[in-house]
Amino acid sequence: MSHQTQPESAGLNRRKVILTGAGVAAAGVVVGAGVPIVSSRLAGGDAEAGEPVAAPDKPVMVHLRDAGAGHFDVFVGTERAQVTDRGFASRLARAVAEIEGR
Amino acid sequence: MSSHREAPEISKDPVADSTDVYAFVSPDKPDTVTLIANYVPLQSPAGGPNFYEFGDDVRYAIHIDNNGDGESDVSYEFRFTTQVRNPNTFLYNTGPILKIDSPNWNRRQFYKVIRRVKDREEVLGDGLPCPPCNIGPLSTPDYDALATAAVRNLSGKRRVFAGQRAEGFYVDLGAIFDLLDPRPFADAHAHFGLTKFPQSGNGVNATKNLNVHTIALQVPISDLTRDGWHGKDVKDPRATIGVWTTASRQRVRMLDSELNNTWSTGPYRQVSRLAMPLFNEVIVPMGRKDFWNTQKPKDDSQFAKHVAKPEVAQLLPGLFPGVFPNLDVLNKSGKPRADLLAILLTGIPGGLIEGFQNFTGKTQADLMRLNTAIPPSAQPSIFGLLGGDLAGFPNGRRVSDDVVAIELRAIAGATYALVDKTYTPDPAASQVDDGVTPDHLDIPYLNRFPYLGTPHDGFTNPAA
Repeated sequence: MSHQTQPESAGLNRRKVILTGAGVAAAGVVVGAGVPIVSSRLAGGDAEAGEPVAAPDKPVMVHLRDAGAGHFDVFVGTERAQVTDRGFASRLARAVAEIEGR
Repeated sequence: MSSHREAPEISKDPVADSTDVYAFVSPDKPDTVTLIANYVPLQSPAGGPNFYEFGDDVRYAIHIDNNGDGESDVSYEFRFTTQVRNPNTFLYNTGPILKIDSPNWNRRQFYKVIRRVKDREEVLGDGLPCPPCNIGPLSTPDYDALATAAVRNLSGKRRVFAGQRAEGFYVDLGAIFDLLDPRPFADAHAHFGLTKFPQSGNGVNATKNLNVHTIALQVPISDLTRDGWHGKDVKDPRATIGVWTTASRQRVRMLDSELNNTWSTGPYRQVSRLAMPLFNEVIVPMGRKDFWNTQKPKDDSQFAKHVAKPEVAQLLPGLFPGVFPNLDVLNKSGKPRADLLAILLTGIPGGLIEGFQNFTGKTQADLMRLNTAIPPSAQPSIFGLLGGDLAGFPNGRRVSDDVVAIELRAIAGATYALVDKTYTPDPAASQVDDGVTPDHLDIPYLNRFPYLGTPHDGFTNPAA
């Protein structure tokens, strides 16, 4: 994953992380109204790109909860979904290490 | 205070900070209950140009448990929306606000009320106006008319008001937080050997001339009770309801420098709650206060140990040498404070006080318990149950009840004899208080909905 190292974006390209996270969410879960937490159908495995979907029309925030296990929280609207994607988590970890000069 | 700034995190988030909950059978409409939840504490009336308001990004709720499980059976949710007429002025108002829809009022707030019963959701009202803050004689020359216009009738014989009110909670914070040294009893305080205040004195109301933001709802008793019960049998378990308020925020907040705005996303998470005054403030230790604010009443057994052995009760004999000898013995016995566990966490069972009970079952939950079968008192005592007034705190809470004195006396042992007839409370236990009463309020309570007084205006407060 490419990344910036300027302080303005705190190293990571925030938009890219958010959009990539949204893609993961769309591929891995159904974010249903009234369902506060939705477990990924891909729990235990890596998410795949799947069919293309339209970009979300509201802010999406992805929180890497556990880098080792590849667990993400995806926040959108008033929902939280849990997604597991070890590959994406690994790429993020490498990017973070690069940012921190490790 | 009651619950103003009572926990480290919420003290930094005033619009979500619940300060007081009141629940009482309405004295002028005894077939209804009035529910009040106050937020945005310690408002200095002149605090412009961005005067006080509710948070558009906060979801406020008043909950009712009517079956004793500590969970919400009926709730009323309040969502606020701010509208700015002219963003190109710094002014809150550009001329006198003579009517609630005055074009001179630049920054207005509206709200929506949603009633929930289990999975059913009903919008009781939308686009309801808040009144402005009380600015002063030029800006809000007839404030009472504005506030009256903001009292709105809802379907089902309900009424609602949301907006600024005079702070009705009175307390001598300065003395209490100066190492628990209430001025009327200062001559008995140990003073840590400093002898700073050897003479006793009169209490000072720390909330004098301050305002608060009120959400007030008046609904038929049958709106709240199990099976819509409304009767006169005090012993009927359906008579008692448990009330609390919560404020919630979305879990993620982004300060977006690219879009130059702030947005939130994700599920709402509870950041503040309140039922009985002073519970989180003086019962729960500092390290657990923020956690307490995130919890539901149904899980309050995890805090019961703090009620069973309250810190203030442990401190009193040392702070006032020789004044609380019986409390000292009780403390050292290690016996749990069954009286406080009942008052604060389960309600008072029948048989302890003649003609009274507000017991909700074994589930320990911090709820404001109100027995709705007890009619309003013709001669209210600010000391509530301790004053022989069954319609007062801790049977619900009226705006004038002296909850500081009542709780201080209970903690000092005044109520322990209810559960142990062999215990004799120390004489001081029925006298100790902070020396502040409703007489210390400059603006009186109202005898009608929403009961809390006209807010102090910013022009004359503080006084010259």
